[in-house]
Amino acid sequence: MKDYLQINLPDVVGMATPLFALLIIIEMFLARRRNAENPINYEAKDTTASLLMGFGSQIVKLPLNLIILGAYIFCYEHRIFELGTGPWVFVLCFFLEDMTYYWFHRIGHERRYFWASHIIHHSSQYYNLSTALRQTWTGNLAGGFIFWLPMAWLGIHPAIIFLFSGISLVYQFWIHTEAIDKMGWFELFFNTPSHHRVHHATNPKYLDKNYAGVLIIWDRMFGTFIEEDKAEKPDYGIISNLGTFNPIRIAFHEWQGILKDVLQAKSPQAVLGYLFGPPGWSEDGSRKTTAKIKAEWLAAKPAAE
Amino acid sequence: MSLWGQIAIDVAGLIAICGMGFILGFSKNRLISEADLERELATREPSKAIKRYWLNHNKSVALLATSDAHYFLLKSLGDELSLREISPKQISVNNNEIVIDVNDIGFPRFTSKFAENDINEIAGVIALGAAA
Repeated sequence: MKDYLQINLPDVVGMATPLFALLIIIEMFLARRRNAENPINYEAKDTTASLLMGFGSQIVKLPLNLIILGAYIFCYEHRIFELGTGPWVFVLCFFLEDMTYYWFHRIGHERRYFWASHIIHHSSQYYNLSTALRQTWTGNLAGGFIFWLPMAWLGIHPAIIFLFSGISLVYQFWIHTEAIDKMGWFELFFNTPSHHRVHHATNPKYLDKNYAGVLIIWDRMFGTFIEEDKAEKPDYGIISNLGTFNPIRIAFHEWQGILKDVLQAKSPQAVLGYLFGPPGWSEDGSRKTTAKIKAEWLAAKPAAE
Repeated sequence: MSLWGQIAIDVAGLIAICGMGFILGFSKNRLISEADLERELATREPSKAIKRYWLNHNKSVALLATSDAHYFLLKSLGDELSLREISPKQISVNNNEIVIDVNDIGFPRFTSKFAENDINEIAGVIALGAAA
């Protein structure tokens, strides 16, 4: 077993929280100026739900923090490389953390077990800064943190991993807006409001695209990038939009769906399918996965044009 | 800062932002129009066409029947809309109200007032659905 020395790095999320509040209020005032072509994209009840989800996620995290920290320390104590805590480790961590986020996020969309937590973030039909705070209550409980453990095992100090996870979270706040248009050369390398609007859209063309955290290069590298098309405005939300603003219902609705399906499954394979298949998978094929929605859209496209 | 101090600040921020949203008038229920019905169905179920629809008393809920005998519920949620395919078995009549139970915690059971003629017609749909 190797040593674990505690190092103190800033809590960037805590530091940014007042800024989040200020920017939401500024965006609300900007939203009042919008016209019929660009309608107001705020709904007070939706914003309340989003903020309660964000607040709840912070509370739910508290009892789990010790277990999660213990898991990171365990992996770090059994690290395979002695990377230290020098400046280049911070640079390495930035890229590794961002790529880890990409895969975590992608799997969070492609596997229903993880989607059950992540769907919360997509459940708003509005796209504004408050949507960024609509966070899961069950993500860590469902084991989402395990995606970052290999970084500690490789030899990156947990505090540095937490720092860059926090920076990623703070970065992703400002991209949840319709107030900023395309950003020129910045769009080539970084995740931007335009790229992320597409990610929150339910238009078949845009489904399961742009999973990036900070750098959009991962989507470009792994084939999931799509440009926002001015001719096709994103339709935000999820395929079966919720009929409620109640945070408890928002937090657990997909888990209830999984439970119902698993209890009614006719075979062990179907149980696995409902848990780890893509969202929309069903044993009789009666429901629509993203692949099916896209296929139907592509099949209908020539006729529509 | 202590944990409780941080929580108190978060709660105050939350109340301030949400209060601001209501003060600025960002809370209204969309009135469902026929164009909304057509657009939502075309977006979600492009192969289906509306045969008949019923709007509730304040135009916040609509029931749709398609030409291939499928039924959909459209509910306004703030300024947006939420569409679900439902079975006639999920609809029931209670005096002058229609009770819709989607049986999903993401879409709670609710009641809504419809015009008397519409209720009779919807009751017919339920009876047909139950018989099927």
